Amino acid sequence: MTTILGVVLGGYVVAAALSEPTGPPVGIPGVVGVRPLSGWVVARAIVSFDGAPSFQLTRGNGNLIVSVRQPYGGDPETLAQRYRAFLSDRLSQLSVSSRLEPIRLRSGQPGFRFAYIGVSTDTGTSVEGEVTVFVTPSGHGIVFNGWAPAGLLSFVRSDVRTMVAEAEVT
Amino acid sequence: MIASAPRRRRSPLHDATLLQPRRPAFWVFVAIVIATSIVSVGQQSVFRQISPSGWALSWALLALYALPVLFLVYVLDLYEREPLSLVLGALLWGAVAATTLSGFANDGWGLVVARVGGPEFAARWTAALTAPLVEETLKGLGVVMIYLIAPDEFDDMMDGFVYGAVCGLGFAVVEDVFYFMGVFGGRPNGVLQGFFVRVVASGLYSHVLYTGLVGMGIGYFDSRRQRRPLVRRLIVLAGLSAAAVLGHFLWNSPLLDLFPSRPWSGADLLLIPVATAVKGLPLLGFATLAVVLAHRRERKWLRGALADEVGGPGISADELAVLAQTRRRRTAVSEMRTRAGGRAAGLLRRLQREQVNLAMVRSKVAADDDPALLEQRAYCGSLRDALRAIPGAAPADAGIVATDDGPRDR
Repeated sequence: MTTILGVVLGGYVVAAALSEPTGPPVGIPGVVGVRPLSGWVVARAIVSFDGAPSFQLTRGNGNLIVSVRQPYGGDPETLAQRYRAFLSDRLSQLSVSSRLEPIRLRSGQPGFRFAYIGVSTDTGTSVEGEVTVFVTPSGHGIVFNGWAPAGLLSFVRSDVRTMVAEAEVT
Repeated sequence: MIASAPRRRRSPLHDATLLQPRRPAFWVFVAIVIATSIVSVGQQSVFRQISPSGWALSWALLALYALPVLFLVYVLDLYEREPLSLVLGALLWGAVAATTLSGFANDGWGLVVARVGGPEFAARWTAALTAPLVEETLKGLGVVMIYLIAPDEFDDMMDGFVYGAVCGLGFAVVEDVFYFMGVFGGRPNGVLQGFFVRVVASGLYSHVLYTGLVGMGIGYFDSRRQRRPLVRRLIVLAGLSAAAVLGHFLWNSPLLDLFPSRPWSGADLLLIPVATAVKGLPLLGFATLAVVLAHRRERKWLRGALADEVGGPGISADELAVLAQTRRRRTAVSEMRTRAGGRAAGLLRRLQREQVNLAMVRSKVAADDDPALLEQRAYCGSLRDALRAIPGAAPADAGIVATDDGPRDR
């Protein structure tokens, strides 16, 4: 049992000991900033959500895309619906979690989270992801999409959730 | 008049089942398999949602691969078939517990690789640096678990190989479903492509080999307890495990990677088996050699164990010569069927099996007149008498004697 626990949990313990935010926050000035955890770097610009300004962080197989709709007058539920529609254009066989999970950033900002899985229409590979949406008091809709090839999201989920929870939202 | 054959009896040597409620290891096994099956079933449910037809096709194709491999591994142990419940236990551990635990463990150690090496390094090397150690350890622990549940069933290296290879087979099947659905898209054409790459082109080199080698090491470590010093047994166990880990590392690493980039054309489909062979053939050759040597050792042990029994009621010199060679045993049974019918062939097969058990008993008891030994000799004799009473039947022929050490004395 000790060996099993050591093999299964040892990596998390060592990773936690090594984990710390590195470098300055990256993001969209005045709206949102994310401090990449160690192992994460800014990746090339990607296709954005409805033309919204976006940036992407990557850690090998895991990715976090942050998109900002500004100004955005709707509520978070509607923003989540729009992002689902955006995903359905890019993923076939899309399956989305049936309910929005309410969450809160460390700063107290409320938001919602949902999960999805589908097949990329570009590459034919299955991907899974976790989307978190917020609407800031200043009227910006912010979407965090943490995704990875199917089955690999669990490798990066804790990092993605940490970076989202500690994001600086203005 | 034809004498009635002695009643079939449960072997006193190999009667262990997976169900051993008095052993703590059994309950640990059950608890881990149940807990991990919740995650495993959930993952299969997600795959089924993505593409029901692709998911069903994945399992159907993998059954075509897994069933013959399971049979081949099962019969590789020349003289003693392992109890089916224990073999299925090893399969279950590999398919459910090892895959699920490896998923979590690879995740954690993948974080470490990314933290230390950065994203580019992690993208290229995480699979090579995490999976071999993590997965071989967790699959190997399945073999250890089976040993702790039924220690008397580990008589030789080949026993460990069988449990290890079956554990690896369970792992490979579930991992292949994951790849078919996750990496190859999950649609039927993607599943077929995945089947070609991961089974047709790579099926010989996968987890069956890795864990088979680890299992051999465990089998050697335990069964040579009485005859070999601890250091030597540790070296063999470590060496075979290291070979498995290195083979797995090479398979997952970007080294010697001749794999064509996707999308694949017709020529690429020819290159894929070459690319997998470059990485997989060395370990396949090593594992084949290890199995051949283990078989040779088994034969030498059998001859040695039965040397003092030749000419007694249990076995004749001619029968031993046939018994020691798998092909001659099968030929003898086949000829018996032609000559005297199916009942006689069945009796001859039983006689051969009980003569192997006679060797086991002989190697486990100290006294020449031990009651268990006397009983086994008499049982073999009664089977032979029943066989001879069938018109047209006659014992096998030819003879040979040799000596060497074999399974442990308990």
